[in-house]
Amino acid sequence: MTSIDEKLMKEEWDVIVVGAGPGGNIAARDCAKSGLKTLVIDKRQELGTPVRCGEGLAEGWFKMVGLPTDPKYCVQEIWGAAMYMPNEKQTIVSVEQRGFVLERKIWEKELGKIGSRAGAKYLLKTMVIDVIKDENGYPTGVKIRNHYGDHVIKCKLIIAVDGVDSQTARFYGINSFNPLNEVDSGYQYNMANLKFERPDLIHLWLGNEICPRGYIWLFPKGDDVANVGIGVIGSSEKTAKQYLDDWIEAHPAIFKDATIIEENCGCIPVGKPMDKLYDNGFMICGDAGHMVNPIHGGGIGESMVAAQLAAKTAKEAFEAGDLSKDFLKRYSDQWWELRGNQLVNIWKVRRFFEKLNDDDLNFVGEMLTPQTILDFSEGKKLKTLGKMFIKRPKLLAIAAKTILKD
Amino acid sequence: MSVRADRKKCLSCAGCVAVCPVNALTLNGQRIEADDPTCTNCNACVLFCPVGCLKIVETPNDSSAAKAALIRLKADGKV
Repeated sequence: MTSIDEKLMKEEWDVIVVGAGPGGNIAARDCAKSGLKTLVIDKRQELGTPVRCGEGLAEGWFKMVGLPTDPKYCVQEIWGAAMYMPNEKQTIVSVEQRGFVLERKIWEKELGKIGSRAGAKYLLKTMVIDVIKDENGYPTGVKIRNHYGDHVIKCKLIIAVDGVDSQTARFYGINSFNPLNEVDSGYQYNMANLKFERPDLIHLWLGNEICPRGYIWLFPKGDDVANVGIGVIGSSEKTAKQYLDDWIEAHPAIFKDATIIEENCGCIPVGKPMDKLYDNGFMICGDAGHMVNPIHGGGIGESMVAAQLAAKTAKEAFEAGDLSKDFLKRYSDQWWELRGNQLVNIWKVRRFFEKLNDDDLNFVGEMLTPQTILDFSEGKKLKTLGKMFIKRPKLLAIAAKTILKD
Repeated sequence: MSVRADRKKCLSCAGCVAVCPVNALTLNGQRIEADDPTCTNCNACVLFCPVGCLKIVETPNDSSAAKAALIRLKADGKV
């Protein structure tokens, strides 16, 4: 008898999607809908776990990629953010369109069902250990390892959506590693029995003492449950866990009676997106291509939108019978126009803020309004924002080298 | 020299895989595995690890230069 997943390994596929996270599922859904024979490979044994994520996502991203929302995985509605500067000054930014804190363990399985119903097949607990190419440099398949042994699964096109630790691009020949100063080291507890106000807001704390370069977050999942996490510069002196534990200890009003019900960690690629996102028969999406908002570290929406574009390009490429890099370039061009250039602007904002000491941060905090915070986080109106610092030469000089620089 | 993960601390996030410049690390199931001959002992993964579970270790085939480098790193308190 041959099991369902063993049969998948013997077939030939148009597209292999590596990674069954949010982006991988969107790529699978759209490729399969286009009539492409699509296989998703993931090294995990289960979609949605382990979580390596704060789980915040604005509703706009669901709409952009045509996904439903449902309270069973959108477990907390969010209508804004409360930011706390080093001097504890609070600024509340409200948003007109709601966001959610997700339960990804449930949501990603729902995405898998959507991909599956569109016609894609899934092969789990399977590692990609190499990419096989023909003499012209086009992929002919991937070499995988699972409990059936090592096999080559044939395909014509590969979409790598396998996360920040992507090795598929490296096996292909594109070195996608992340320099240490361009990643944040992330650590997070899911905690219960917390005491905090305003579960309709995400809460963000900034400061070089508590969290060099990054921020500490509290993303509510109910009135007394939340993801409490931290992202610090990858080369920081202490570990992310040590910074977070120190901060929690200093805030007994929130944490005195709290319990940890889950812990997880991860790497957040907060640098610029990768220049090379495609090659012959190959496209890269999501964290694997460093497609993350460098200010807040969010990457779910970016990955899904990129995957949608990659799947659209895959459809066009198969119709044209041309899987060359010259053809697939349109994926990269469209993505850079839609998201990439904005992410680079946001990266400039990150570069500005990481050069500020806590006094500077407090000074900037006094000047920030909810609107300017939104503009900063979206990398918009940078020239106007830069002029805010005209009375503080030090900040103006930093702005000239970062947000005002083309 | 190469790196090893303390399995009691490691949460299998694979961030070390992401920051390894030479692709010497792999997450296999929940276990981080190092390809010892490929590892250049650059220390990026050790610095990055959110829980501090990685450390540089001696391996049987270390050259005398590698052994000397490890002694220096230990003297500097870096490993």
